[in-house]
Amino acid sequence: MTNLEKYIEAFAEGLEIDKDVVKEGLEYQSIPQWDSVGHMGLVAALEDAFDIMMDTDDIIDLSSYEKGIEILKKYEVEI
Amino acid sequence: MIITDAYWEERNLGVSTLEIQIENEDDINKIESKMKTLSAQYIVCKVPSLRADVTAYFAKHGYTYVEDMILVEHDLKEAERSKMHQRLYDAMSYREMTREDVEFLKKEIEGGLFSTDRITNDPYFDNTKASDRYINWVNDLIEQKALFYVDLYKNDPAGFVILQTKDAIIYNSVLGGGYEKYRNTGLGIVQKEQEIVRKLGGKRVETQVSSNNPGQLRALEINGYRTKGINHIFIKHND
Repeated sequence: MTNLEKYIEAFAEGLEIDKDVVKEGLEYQSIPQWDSVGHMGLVAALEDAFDIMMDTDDIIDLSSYEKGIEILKKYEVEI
Repeated sequence: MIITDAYWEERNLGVSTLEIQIENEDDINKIESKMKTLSAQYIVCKVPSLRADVTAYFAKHGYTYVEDMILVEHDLKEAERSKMHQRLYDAMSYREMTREDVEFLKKEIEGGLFSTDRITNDPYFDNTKASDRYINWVNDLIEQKALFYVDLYKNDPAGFVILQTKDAIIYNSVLGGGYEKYRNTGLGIVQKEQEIVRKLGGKRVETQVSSNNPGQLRALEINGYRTKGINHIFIKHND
């Protein structure tokens, strides 16, 4: 599985949404599932998928699909 | 049936306002008779969700359903938080508000802090009236000696909560929210009011959430709140 596939799967699992919805343009609050509760599930799924532990500054900065890719680079994960 | 002349809304919204709370045991015939005698520019009716007959009455008589208000309570037992939830919880602290904190809160309100309430979403009222109403409410709460707290993320104000109590046992979380800088960050999952009320010696905390704010309802549930009651809210504007 590529990192992109893992990334998309983590989004789908964390936010409990279809993989088809996971794409560029997806942002916090752009769908009902991405609220504060969904955000917690999303970050946990990303940490599990890439075996990392994110700083709280990065957790609260993760505001979109694109921003997530940028943040993961700090943890040496290239999507 | 409790009828309140909400005179403060004339100051806030510029219209005479009646707030009517229907109670579970109210007789429908008496409600109908009483409603015929009432008159105000703006009438707000709160109907317990079990009273389908009263709901039908208001729908039939030109009242508009705008939201459910869901009353939730917390017994202050420590919520079972996931590891992620706990990390965010531990990253937040709180303190009592200073005068500067209150001014900051008012600026946040002016900037559109609240977006899901029945006034903000009513085309009959403009957004300035809605924010002025909240600022007046904050001023009233100061006079009433309510307890103002600011939530902090790394010592930076991230949100607030205002508590009131009549008996120092049950506390009511009357107003709260997250500040603009920390909106859409996930910090809304962190609720410190249970910890605050525990330290104050209280036994329970209650709050109300609108059905127009499902994200907040989910956050309350995951923090251990349980639903206590639901009121359907109807409104009517009279010229």
